[in-house]
Amino acid sequence: MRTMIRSLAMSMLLTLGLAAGTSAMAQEKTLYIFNWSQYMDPEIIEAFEQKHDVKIVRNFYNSLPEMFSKLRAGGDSQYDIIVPSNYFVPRLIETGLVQKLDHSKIPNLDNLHPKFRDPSFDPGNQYSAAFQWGTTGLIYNKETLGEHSDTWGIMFDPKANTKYPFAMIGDGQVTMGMACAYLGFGYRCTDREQWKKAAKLVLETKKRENFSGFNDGTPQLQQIAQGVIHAGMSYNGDYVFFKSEDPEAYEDIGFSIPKEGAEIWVDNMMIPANAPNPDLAHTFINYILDAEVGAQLSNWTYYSSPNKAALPMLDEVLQQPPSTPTDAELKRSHFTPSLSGEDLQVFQQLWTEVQSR
Amino acid sequence: MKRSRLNRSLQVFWYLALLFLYAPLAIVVTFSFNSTNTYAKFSGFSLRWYEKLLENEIILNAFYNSAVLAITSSALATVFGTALGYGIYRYRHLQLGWLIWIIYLPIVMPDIVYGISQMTFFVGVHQLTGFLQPDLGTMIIAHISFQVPFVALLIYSRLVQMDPLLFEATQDLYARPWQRAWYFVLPTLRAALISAFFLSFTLSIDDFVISFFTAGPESTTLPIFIWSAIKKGITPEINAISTLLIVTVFTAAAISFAIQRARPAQSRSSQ
Repeated sequence: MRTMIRSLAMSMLLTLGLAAGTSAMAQEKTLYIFNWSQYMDPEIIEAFEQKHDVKIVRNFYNSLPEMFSKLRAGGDSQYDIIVPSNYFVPRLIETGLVQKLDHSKIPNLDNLHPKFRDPSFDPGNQYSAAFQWGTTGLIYNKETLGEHSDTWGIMFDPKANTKYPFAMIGDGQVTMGMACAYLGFGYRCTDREQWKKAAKLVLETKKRENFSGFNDGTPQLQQIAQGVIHAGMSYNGDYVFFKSEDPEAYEDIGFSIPKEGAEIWVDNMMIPANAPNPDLAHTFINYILDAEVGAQLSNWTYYSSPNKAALPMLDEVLQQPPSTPTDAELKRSHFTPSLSGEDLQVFQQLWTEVQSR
Repeated sequence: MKRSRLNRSLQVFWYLALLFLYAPLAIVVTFSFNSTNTYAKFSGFSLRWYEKLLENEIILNAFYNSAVLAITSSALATVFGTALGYGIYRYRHLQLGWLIWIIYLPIVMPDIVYGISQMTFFVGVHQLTGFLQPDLGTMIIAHISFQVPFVALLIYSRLVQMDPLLFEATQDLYARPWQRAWYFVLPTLRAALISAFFLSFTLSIDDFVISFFTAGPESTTLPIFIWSAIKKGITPEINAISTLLIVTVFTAAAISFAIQRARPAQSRSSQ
């Protein structure tokens, strides 16, 4: 008995001591990053830690609403860097969860490609600087659905594909945007009547027998290689990544920006309103926007770089489609509209209805 | 004849239950040893995903956090829970049976409700006082709070099984309260204490929901890490972590179970 109590007490003291040790370590300068997972080359992190003699703590989120609610629950004073997608940027600004960037501390902002220098979702880059960008397009099995499929009809036209299973993306705004595009309203439609028609189309599509379910873009890429689905919606960067990891399994899988239009997105670095180390956060943003670091980042993530100065240093596979879309493809790719107020409520009601019926 | 046929068909349910319980776990474990990054086929035995784990600082850190959280919270919960269980037993004549419902409540409460309310509470206290910022400390408090009822019930049920006359016997022998505790109550409860500790340990190590809501930036545990990493799909690395978790939880549960089982024989010989 005595030995057990002693060992219990020992382990308690030990763990408490260790816990105290870790919190003491936190006294040195620490940068807290809240990002999507597998979205940052660990070597970049190490290099920054050494160069500036700081420690970086990384946390990951699985979806933007998850990140948003963490920030609301006190996270805005716990993280220094967050990396939301374009359509979440206005929402973060409006709710006061982020702070303005001090451009004098980010000279490398000029490395950004002009098209990311003054984005519609954050005019003048007052709050955000682009991190990585990409497109959401159609993935399909070339053997069963044709070598060059470039229409959302594979999903939305009940006659085009009657037997091969397909998936749609779980993010309501993206799937609804694709439906809008297919109906000819354009990816960015926000008209209520057009929304209703799109919702009806998604609902009908959902009820088809070969609809396999709503899923995120990356898992769909794994499902399509396993033959679980034959068509889906996914990201160009992940497509290129999976294809270079396992060329054999992805030999017959294609990626296209359908002729009706598709999504282009950009993830952005932002600083939460009460970040513990805003100065260090600015230094980090500037570091990422460096030409060489920017190239290293994209060569690791396989997503496209918004850094104009980094482009020549990108791997060859990243310099061609689908990583670097053609001008025509770019022209029919659009940012997801950022909704707020009544629009957001109406949309959420519609989407809940679509999901629950 | 009829009876045996019924029995045999009921047996099928037993095997079905086993299948649905263990087949998914077996798949995860098998593919954690796969030499290539695919679910399509098993291409050969390899430990490369485990080696990769050891190189990944974030995963090691999460592992460390999980260990500190589980050991600390279980140890403290065992202490508090034992005190509570003994208190309920000692004063059971006061008709306080309904009190047990108050501790039962968190056990039956959905984790998600419990986690969100803990988070709201900690955030509120932090905003008012500056204390209790979400990190490992708040997670330890939250874990203790859901482990204590289990410990208390375990200890209480062990005490109820005992012959109450033994307590009177210690009094007849002029044992002081602390002597009674040290030489009689604690040794009698030894098995229950160990098994309570390991039960708490398994509850803590595999908790995701409550941890998720009460964690801070520096206190990512393994389940939280797995959740955030599956955005990119389930990699063999995740399978390897899961396998390690499965082994840990099985071991802790086995210890807890074995000690509970072994106890009656031991007690007869030692008393």
